[in-house]
Amino acid sequence: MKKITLSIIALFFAGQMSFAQAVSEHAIIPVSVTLNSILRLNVVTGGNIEFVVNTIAQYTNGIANSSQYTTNFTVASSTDFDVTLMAEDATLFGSDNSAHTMLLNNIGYITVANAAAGGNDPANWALQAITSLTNTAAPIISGVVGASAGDVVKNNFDVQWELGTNGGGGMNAANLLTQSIEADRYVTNVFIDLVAK
Amino acid sequence: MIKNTLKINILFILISISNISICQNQTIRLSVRTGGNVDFIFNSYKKFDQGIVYTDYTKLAVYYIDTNNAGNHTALTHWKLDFKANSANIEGSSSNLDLRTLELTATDGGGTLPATYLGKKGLSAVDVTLVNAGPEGDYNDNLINITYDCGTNATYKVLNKKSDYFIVDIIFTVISTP
Repeated sequence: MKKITLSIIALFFAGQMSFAQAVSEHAIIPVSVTLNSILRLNVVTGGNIEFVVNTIAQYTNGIANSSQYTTNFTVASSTDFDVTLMAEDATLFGSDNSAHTMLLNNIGYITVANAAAGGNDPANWALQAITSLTNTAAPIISGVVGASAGDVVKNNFDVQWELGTNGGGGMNAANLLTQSIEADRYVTNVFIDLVAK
Repeated sequence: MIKNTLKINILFILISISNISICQNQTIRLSVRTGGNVDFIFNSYKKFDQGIVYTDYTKLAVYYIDTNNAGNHTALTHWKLDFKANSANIEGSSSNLDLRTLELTATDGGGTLPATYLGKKGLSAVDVTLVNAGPEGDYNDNLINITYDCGTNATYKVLNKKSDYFIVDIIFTVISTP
């Protein structure tokens, strides 16, 4: 009798422990994320810079920067970026006589943040100080890692051009007058390249 | 001998009764009604900066019945909905995104019975509960809308991430609870 009682009790608890397990079911949903790189440079104004030297003073002292000799451009980038600048040709060539040439280093430029830019140097980028034009890619904007990606409001730049001023940065020390350059319309194209870091 | 046989029979009957009187009959099913495949495409700066939200993009339906052996509803148990990723990251070919780039929110999808919705949750590699205290009911009683946020969390933006194609599978699990 004692044995039966003990057995009954043991079985009762065993029965309790065989309580139903939780039931479950799964569903799988695949998710994809496509990141198309955003990398755009837009020249807003000053896409054609024309210096006209028609006075002795200009031959002697050059032409300093002003708003009509300024190129404004913006950058929209989803990643940190750099910008380089270079001339297409080794020299400026005469339009009327291609044998006429003028040295590139008679032209200098400096890169600054536009007054309306939301970003600033050095927090977001390092901007190139005065430098002479060459036909090798020169960095004009070096984006700070983690801080340069942004829209056109943030990344708004001016390239301020000058001619024959010997403003430093490798510009020609001789003025235009002493170079005795043939009269002509000298041209070259300038490339501004936007590169993701 | 007869006494021993009687003892064994009694034991056998008791074993059977104790097991039958406590077992429950639970049926749970999870159905993806719409939005079974989610694609986020970032092709403008604004999307990179602000992220993308797909509101009520996926609709789930839960069927849950819990009865005893007499066919009576016990009303003692509920269900909950969990979700998790099946990988440690959102995986690309050359880089990965943090799982927390994706956040999910469950809301009432128009079912007739109330459950408890726990708000926006970040994706992780372990189960996170989106809905609990879900009652018994059929598919039309327990409807759940899932909203997806990608890159909206300021800590986990996709800005400054390398362009690539990233994928992750999200595993939804509905499970009965006491």
